Amino acid sequence: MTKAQHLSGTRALYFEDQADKVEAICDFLRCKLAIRLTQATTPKEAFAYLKQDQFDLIILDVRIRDDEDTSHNKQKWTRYGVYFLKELREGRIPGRTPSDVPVLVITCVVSTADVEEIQRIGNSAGGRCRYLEKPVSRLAMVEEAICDLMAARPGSSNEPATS
Amino acid sequence: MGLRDYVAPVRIAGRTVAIIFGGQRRPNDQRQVDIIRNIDALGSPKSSIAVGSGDKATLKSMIAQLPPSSPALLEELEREADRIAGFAEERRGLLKISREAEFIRTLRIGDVMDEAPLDAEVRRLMHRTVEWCGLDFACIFVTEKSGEKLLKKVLSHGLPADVSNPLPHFNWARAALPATELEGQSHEGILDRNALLKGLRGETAKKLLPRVAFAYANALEGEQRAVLCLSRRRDGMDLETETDFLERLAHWICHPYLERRQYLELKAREEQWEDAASLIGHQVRGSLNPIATETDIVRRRVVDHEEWISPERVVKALDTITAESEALAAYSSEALDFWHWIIGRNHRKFEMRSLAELVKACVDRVKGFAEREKIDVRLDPSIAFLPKVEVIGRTVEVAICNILENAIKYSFDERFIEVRGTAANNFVELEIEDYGIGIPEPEREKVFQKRYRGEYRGRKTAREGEGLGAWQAAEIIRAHGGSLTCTSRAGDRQPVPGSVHGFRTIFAMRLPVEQKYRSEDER
Repeated sequence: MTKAQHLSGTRALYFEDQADKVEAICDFLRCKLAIRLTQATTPKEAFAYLKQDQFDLIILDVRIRDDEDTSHNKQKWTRYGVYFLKELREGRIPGRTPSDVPVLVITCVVSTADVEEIQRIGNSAGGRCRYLEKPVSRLAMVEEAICDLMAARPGSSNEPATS
Repeated sequence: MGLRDYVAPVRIAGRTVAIIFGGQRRPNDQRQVDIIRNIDALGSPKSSIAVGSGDKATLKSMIAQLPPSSPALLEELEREADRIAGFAEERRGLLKISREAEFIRTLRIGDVMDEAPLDAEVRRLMHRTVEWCGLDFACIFVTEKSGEKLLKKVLSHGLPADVSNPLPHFNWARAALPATELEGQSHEGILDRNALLKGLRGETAKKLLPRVAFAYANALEGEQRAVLCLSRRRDGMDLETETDFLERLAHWICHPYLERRQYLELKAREEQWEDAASLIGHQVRGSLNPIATETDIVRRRVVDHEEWISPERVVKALDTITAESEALAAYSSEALDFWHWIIGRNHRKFEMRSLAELVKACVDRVKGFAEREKIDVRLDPSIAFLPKVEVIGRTVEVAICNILENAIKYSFDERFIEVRGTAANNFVELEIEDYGIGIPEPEREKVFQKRYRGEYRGRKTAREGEGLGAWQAAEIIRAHGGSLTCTSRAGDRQPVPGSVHGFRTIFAMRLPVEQKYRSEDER
């Protein structure tokens, strides 16, 4: 059994506001890796899914526009993913998904400081986090990152990746 | 009566000398009258009383600079200088240097540069200065570069109520201050007090003038200048010491203020660039991502023969690659537009261009987008008769394209948008009308706000809007002394949230034909 085969049946939430830009990744996750994927394009949707379902993995963008946010706070929407990740790790997002759920961040144009912050927050509170920068040139990179994240889960039959 | 009014350096034939007249003016003192007459006789151009405050030379060395052709005057001046030097020495005790230094330390000038609100910090400094020096009031005026432009900002402390409204202001040109003489200097320029005070304008200036005893002017990179006016000190002191002290105070208060203003301006500009870079980077990478991943889908099917990818999925991948490539091309145009806008706005170089041709060029630019969305952009015959207008570079094109693209995005009821124009009374008006999602009354002003996106979304396109188009267009038109307005009225169908609505929305762009016709408010 390959590493990727172990991902079959994994329940993942992909939180990305521009869903049309990641169709290839989503199809790959669903059809190739047999991941049970749920997509959320707004914070409201994401919170609703997290409340009702338990996820094994969260895939997250950083620059997420909240259509219901009328404050037009640039700082907020250009770094919403960071805020979301912090809330998650600090256990402030209600639902059945544990706060230490593995998180894969796929985003673009984030400063070095932001990347460091994402890694710091994402890898805190017992959680694990990987960061991929768009454009993702090979879908295999997504597969590898997810395998790495899931292998480190307690009870996983995969060996932790060394990378 | 303060000593300083009658103690002043003199400027002769473009050279700087300092002559300090006695501590008390004696109107009937023939000796003083003679000295003034002699100085006048030397002058070509005529001499003027000036405060040569930055000159650190001694009185005698200044006198030595006088033309050699006036030995009698030199003798007289030397005697006067000796007398005044002695007088100044006697009075110097009025201002204890140690106390001065202590006071300056307590001002904590460095605080001006921190993140505390600038005005409040400057007012604090002024308050302390006024209090410590026993002054009646202090004002700071800050202006911009152009000659006759009034100063934009007045900060004051201790001004009586009757001169607070309307606020007095300072006019650089009226004060006959040269545009560049003080550039980058603290107070080395020759400040002709009388001329300088002429710059003090406003309805209440007459009340203010008699009480202004000291003025200070400064410039920083030609952008802003400031004048600090302090009222006369009640108990008086010797001019040299007081002038030095007041000038240093003025410099310390004004200079950080100007620097801080410039810093804030640069910071705002830098933020704009960061915004632009981030936006462009995000859009470009956002489009590159589907191109890269869809290409990988195709490769996996064609090269690796992965069977989970159907032929239909390959076609979809190729379609996405095409659409995103087109979006990338459009982004590069937008990036260029943004560049032109920034450059144009900062330099404001106007040129006459045919608005008719400009509109046609814009329609050509959005043609591809319109065709994909199956929207016909209809040009009214009136467009051909639009005159030439004075515009900044390509900025107006950016504005028109932004509005056209929005119209295409939001046009649902009809498959066309209309563009028409009129010209009257030195203004042209361009209207762009679409038929679809309307803009409710409360939102009409908000659409011109940065990053504002209305409740209803436009057509789903490969290029996600950032809520900048209408804002940028309004900024550009405003910079031309024009206006951009929006009206929206109900059409045949009533709005139903979440669906296509029956509204006619018009964006009207009003521009002066030439800049001389622009609104006074915009000057």
